[in-house]
Amino acid sequence: MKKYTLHMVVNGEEISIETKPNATLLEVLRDELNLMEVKEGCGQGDCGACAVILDGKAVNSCLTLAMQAEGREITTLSGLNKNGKIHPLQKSFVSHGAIQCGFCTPGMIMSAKALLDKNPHPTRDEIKIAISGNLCRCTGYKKIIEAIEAVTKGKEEKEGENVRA
Amino acid sequence: MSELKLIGKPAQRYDARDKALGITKYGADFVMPGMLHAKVLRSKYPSAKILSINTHEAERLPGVKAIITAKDVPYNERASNVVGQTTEIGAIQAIQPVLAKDRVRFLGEPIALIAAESLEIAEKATNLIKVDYEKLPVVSDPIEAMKPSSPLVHEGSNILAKWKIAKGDIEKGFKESDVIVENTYYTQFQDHAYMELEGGVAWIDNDEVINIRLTTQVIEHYRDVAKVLGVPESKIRVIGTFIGGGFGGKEDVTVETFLALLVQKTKKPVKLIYTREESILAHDKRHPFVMKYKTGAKKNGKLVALKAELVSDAGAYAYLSPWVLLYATVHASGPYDIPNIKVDSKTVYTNNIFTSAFRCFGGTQVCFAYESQMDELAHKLGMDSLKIREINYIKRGEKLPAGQRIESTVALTETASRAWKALEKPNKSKKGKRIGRGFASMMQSYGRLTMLHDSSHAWVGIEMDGSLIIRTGVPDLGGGQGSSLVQIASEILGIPGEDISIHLTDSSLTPLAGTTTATRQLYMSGNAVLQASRNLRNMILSRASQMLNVSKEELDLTDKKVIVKKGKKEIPLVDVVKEMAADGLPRNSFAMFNAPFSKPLNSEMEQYERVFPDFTFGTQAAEVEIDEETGKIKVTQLVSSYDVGRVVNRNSVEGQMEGGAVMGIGYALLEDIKSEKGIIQAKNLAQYLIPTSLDVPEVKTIILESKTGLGPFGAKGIGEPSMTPTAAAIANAIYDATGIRFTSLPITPEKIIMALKKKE
Amino acid sequence: MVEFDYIAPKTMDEVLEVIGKPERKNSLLAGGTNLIVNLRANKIKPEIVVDISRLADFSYIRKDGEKIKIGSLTNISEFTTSELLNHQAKILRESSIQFANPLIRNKATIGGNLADASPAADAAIPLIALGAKVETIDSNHKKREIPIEELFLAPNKTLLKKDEVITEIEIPSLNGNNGNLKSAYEKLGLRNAMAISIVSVAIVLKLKDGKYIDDAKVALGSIAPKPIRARNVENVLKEETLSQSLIEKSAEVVLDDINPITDVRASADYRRMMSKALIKNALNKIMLGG
Repeated sequence: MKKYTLHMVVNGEEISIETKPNATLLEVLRDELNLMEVKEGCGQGDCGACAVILDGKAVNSCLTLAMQAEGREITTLSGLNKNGKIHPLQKSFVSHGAIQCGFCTPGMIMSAKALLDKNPHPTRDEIKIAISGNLCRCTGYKKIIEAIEAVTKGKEEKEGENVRA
Repeated sequence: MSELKLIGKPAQRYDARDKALGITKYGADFVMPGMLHAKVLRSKYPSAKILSINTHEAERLPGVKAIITAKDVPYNERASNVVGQTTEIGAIQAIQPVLAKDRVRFLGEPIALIAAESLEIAEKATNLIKVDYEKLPVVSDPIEAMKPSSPLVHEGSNILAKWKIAKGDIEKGFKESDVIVENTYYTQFQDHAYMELEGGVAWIDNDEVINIRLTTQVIEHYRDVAKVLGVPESKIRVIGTFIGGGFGGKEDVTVETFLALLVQKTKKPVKLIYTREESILAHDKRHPFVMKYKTGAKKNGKLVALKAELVSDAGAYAYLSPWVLLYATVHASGPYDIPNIKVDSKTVYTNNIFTSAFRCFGGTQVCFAYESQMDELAHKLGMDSLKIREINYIKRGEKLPAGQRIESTVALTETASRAWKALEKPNKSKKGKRIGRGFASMMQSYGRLTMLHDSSHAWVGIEMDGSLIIRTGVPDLGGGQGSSLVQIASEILGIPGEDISIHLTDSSLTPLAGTTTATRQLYMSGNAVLQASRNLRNMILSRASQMLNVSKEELDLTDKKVIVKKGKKEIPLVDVVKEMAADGLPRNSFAMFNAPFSKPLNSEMEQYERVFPDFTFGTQAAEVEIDEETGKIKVTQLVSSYDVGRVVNRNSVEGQMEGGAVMGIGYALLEDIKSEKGIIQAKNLAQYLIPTSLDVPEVKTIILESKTGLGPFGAKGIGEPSMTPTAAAIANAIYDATGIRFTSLPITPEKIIMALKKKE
Repeated sequence: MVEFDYIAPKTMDEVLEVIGKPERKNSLLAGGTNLIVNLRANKIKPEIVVDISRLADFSYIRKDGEKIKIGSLTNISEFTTSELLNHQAKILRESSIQFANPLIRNKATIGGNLADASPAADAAIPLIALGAKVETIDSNHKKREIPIEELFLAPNKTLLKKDEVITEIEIPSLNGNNGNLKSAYEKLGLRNAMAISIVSVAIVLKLKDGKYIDDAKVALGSIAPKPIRARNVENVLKEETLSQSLIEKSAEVVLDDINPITDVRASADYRRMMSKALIKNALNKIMLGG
């Protein structure tokens, strides 16, 4: 199969990479860029574990061909720590017990981030809608909703301590 | 004991930070240089003869490095004795091939393994393997499967195992009853639907040791792998990862044997990760049960007799079906004192997907039945449903109908009344909506069957700088198993959590701690860590008492210091550690914790003196709103109330109770693999429906602490019990709303509408 | 995933040139929420995937005189926040909030949802009830308009030729009715997010003097091999006064419009009952001032 050079900005860094046209964005982020925090839970948009922010919108990276990211900006979970600090959402998820197995967490936080970027003070119902494409099998969602709400209410507004390298 | 400083607080889990940052490496997140990618070829039919397997074309595909079929597996046919089964059924041996040889018994049964340079090549090769089948009749209904005319799934009989309970005189009991309720209940196949798919990477070391790094609840499967490969157990090492959810579905062997076989053959690292579709075909499901119940009570509500006939669908292979059936049998009468009882249960082979462990392990199916029966009795007698249960709840010191004496607190009256009261005022009934409320109480064992002589080990050692290392082979399922162990060591040794590192789940490097199943890790490994920490504390304080010239009893350990409790003197912990090192004293402790042991059980028994270490008791109350036009069911409130013995980490306990209840809502209302003649219809997460954030209420939790459990500081277990009564509570709430008793799960809008229509 | 070549034309002309070559089997990629699932499952095997998602000029929701025009590459998520739709085609916004989930809504496009032609296509149902049509263009640059109710032939089959692309959706004049246009959308799924419809119903009524029905358009999804228009229901409603008994009557005749099947989600019987129920619910909503 023919390969193409793909240019995109991932977590603030310009990337050029050779890719096959049938590779998904999920595959390229994981297998080529080692961004292992982007998880595959179903491969067809039914679970949200692979959610990333593409040009400001949270999308399933498994339903995106890598080539579609040409010239675009992508943020994955680790992109929230580019400044070396833990993000308020990450901190709040930890302190609220919103993380059990943690497998849905990266996608869940990206959906929450996309919501708060557009709507910094969502209602509880808006939070529930925003994460309704992200399945969680452990928590029953309550502590996740609480963790997101705490950030919107400024209870967790500060960035945390440095992230270890 | 002095007051606890950390236990019971909503502690931040040490693992949560890495998970929030996305650093945690799960099964699929690990790579090895030069690794091959594997695929599994699976059966297309639920029941067929394999006439031939032709791998020639696949082998010729460039990049294919190995293809393994049954003939290449050193010990392919594994036979195991079926627990406790005596002559009536025969001294049965359950046969389970690693790869199907000449017969497939369920759709998705593994036939061949492929390793190639890339996943794409492996996929192509899989499609090039030609398997000639001759289709055989399919038996997919366990009741049909018990008939003599049924096709046999294995040689001998389709009945795999039986258990029973008998006490008193059941016929007399029904004669004495003023009211009798009879119903047959049906439950469905449930998929664990953990977010993380099964998978891992394996490689071979210099020392011929095959390392398998995978997501698993049971690292002890290294023994099974060794048997299949025909190598010493010491040559297989299983390294567990943090697990992206298990719930029992990663309790049986998943990919470890496949990986080891491919590594043995290719001598190269191999990676195998299932897709979601494959996961649904490849791992066990919760047992569907058919449960015929007859319950009799006096006018005053006192239970007199209970008769239950349970049949569970074991699917195509035995796995843990006989064990699950034993659990269901012992739990079949619920947390009630009943003088006359008879339970007969069977588990039956079919050509369905095999069934095995799933959170509650037979406990939630029977709870759906016994709590629906209690509700019916209350309605028939015109009694308050709290009252009738209160009269009958088992009490501490009494024996269960199955024979085991309850040694810990039974706080059911309290959990029930508090759960019930915690339901907020009902929403005003809207036009076209029916609102109903119900509750269900439960009991669920924690810890494994006592006849298994369960034990756990932990090693706790202090470093020269006063930091601490814990080693224990505990797989962390996501429930915070490891974090609670850190908290326990921190409490006893006065070392902050940040200075403690815990090494988990490695069959070669961490002392074996047993499986993360059966709600046993806090109980078992918590006690092992507690014991090792106490030993180490003792060793430290002994040396410190010489240094400070006061008796050990006057000393305490806190904030990395040894302090004199009623004085001002203190010395840094590191100084004591240095002295211990200088004196050549051990600075670590290795502890083994044993659960109570009991004699083997067998299927001839009618009473069981001891089956489990202990039980957790609790109650859930639910409110539902039903749309009369569409049948749509909304769970508007759910309250979960348990005596957890003792809270170690409040966040973790609440997390289990909230998550368990939501899984229970899925089980009650949504989830079903929809198996038809052995073919699963719900093939992915668009068709197998688990609850989203918009499908569930925010679960309210009420946590009681009797401090009478067998775990550390009096803790009981909550992992599995948190889900046991949800379906029953919802079914009872639906009855309250509609006057209709739903006896089969899941209760879908369609079932509601059809039943409402029939009622009119 | 199947193997294919990929091209991302910058202009519609380039798209038309590529799809005008029948010798090379192509698939159009817009949002990809269906296409990529099908590619992954090897259900379709194109030689080339033509990524049209980069065409800049096809994502808009705008007023054109009395009409509303929507670019075929507009994401469903745009519908959920559009003030224009909220004022002038509320039903589209209502239905979009129940479309799959936010992650999918951010990718799925209106043109893609229509071209995929699922019998459950969530966006098609309200558009049919609104009397909307699609504008297409083919490789000869010939444009045509197809009423959406005529677009679908069978599951995943449309009237569109192999060299034809949907460019725009046009919703006819809806204003100018002095606020007498009333609509309602009802979707029944097994979950409240990520649910494929068991039945969905969209009704748009043109009312005179409050309750007299001048015109009615009723569409249903998931109850036939394609989204359908319920002409029997419409005939009952038209030129009558909206009343409880009329609602009952409409619900009865819907059975003549539909042809449901039993599948993994629901039985045909239940679908029939729910078609009636949702027609009733939708009309009641309108009567109560929806």
